[in-house]
Amino acid sequence: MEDVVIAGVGMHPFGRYPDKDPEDLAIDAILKALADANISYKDIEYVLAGKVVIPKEGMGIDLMMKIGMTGVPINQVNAMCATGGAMLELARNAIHSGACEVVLVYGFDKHKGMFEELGEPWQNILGMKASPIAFATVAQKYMSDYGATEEDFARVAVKAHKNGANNPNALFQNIISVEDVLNSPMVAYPLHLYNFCTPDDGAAAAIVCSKKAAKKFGIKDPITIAATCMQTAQYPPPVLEPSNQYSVCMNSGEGIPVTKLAAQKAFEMAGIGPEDVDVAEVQDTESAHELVHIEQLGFCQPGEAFRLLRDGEFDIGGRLPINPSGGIQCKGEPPGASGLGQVCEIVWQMRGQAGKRQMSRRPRVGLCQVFGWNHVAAVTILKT
Amino acid sequence: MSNNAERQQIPIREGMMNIPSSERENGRLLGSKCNDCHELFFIERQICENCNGQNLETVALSTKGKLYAFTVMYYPAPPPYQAPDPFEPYGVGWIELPEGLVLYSLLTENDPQKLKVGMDMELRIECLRQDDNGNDIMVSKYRPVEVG
Repeated sequence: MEDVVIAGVGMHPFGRYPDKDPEDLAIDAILKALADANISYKDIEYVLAGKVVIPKEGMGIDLMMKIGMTGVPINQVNAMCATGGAMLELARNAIHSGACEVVLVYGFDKHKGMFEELGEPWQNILGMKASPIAFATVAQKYMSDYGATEEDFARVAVKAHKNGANNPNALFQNIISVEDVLNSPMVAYPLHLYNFCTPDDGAAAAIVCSKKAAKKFGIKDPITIAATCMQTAQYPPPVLEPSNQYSVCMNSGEGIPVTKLAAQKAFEMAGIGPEDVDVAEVQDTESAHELVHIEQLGFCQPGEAFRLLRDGEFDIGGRLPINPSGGIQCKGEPPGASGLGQVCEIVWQMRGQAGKRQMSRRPRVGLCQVFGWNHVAAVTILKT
Repeated sequence: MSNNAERQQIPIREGMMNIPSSERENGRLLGSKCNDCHELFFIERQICENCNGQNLETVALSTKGKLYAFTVMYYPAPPPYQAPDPFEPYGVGWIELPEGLVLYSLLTENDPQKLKVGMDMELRIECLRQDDNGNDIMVSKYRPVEVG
């Protein structure tokens, strides 16, 4: 099958923009992506719009009245925090089907606080399905199983901020210490406030096209989407994977995490293994899940990531830089946009455009992983 | 007293528990067993998550289990959660029952130092508050079994 490539990316910095309409954020990211690819909006044959939190219905479609009514099909996508990855898979499949050659994918959101109604009504009345609880339970079990400590989780946040301090697109661009994290208020044991990502506003966009189209447009350094796989739960789901579940039967064995399933498929599709990856952006809803996801992606064995982090392996200068952008711990998380935000970072690192946080050896293989509530994940592998 | 005579104990979720008939008894949580694939679920349900079968029977679940994982929440959850005044941090966790089912529950304990993975836990059914008709809304929690 013909290669599908990323021709251009754009991002409106993630942060808090009370005076900006969400559409303004999206238009900014889209225009940047079009300029980056040096193509015109008229060349777009299909549009995918990701949004999760913004309450206004139809907003992905409405947006086109502001930037160009070209009559092309537009679909809205919501796969919770995995929306960006889900859109890339749809875009790639649409191109492979022959239906179109040039797709605009963009995600935007304005996210103010915790999701309000994730569980069943009775669970929400009892406060049981507030998202920090679900993520903290995984962190607690990780500590209990492997001997990691609150300091280890703090180190993840410290590393994130070291990178985020050099990212003009991040909400937080400050250095913090292990003590700062441990002294920040406990939100849900064992996780402190500075361990968590912050809901915020932002937008990101990418132009996805066939290799043939990229050649036609004269794009010099297209980046190949070697694989993109979205995955939902396969019974039985892992007990602690954040979701609406209130029971899991373990008589038929322990569940496999959706990220692991997605990664297995993606590596097979790309014909490479985790050892071939030079850089990765992973879903760091909070510090513990960065470690858990590193392990689920196959970059190391379960229970090893926190020790490797102590050794600096995941620093920008380390063996496998993780979240060179600062992750959503620093950028904040507009869920509709966060996945494509990861893609922007990997593309910039591959092209040597990542400014002060540029890896010294330009990566040739990069991986993006997003994970969302109710057992949904997507893994994308990019290659130069 | 006529009001009291009609006052009922109502589970916060239908199909979730047997209400104890006297104060000496402790109720039981209810689940479903799939008669096709034999998987178990907490709370009665019509469709099996595993095999999509629709031949499920109601079963009462064990009242004792072991703590599988836990957390303590230090901030009020978003609405419709109604925080007590003053707010108290609350414990939540997963309990592994002898029949192989792991279920999600509030805990009576809110000090993480007093909770440990693998510890013995037992069911407690208690009144959350009264509804507008004066009925008791009943919820389930798990508490550490006192040793000795």
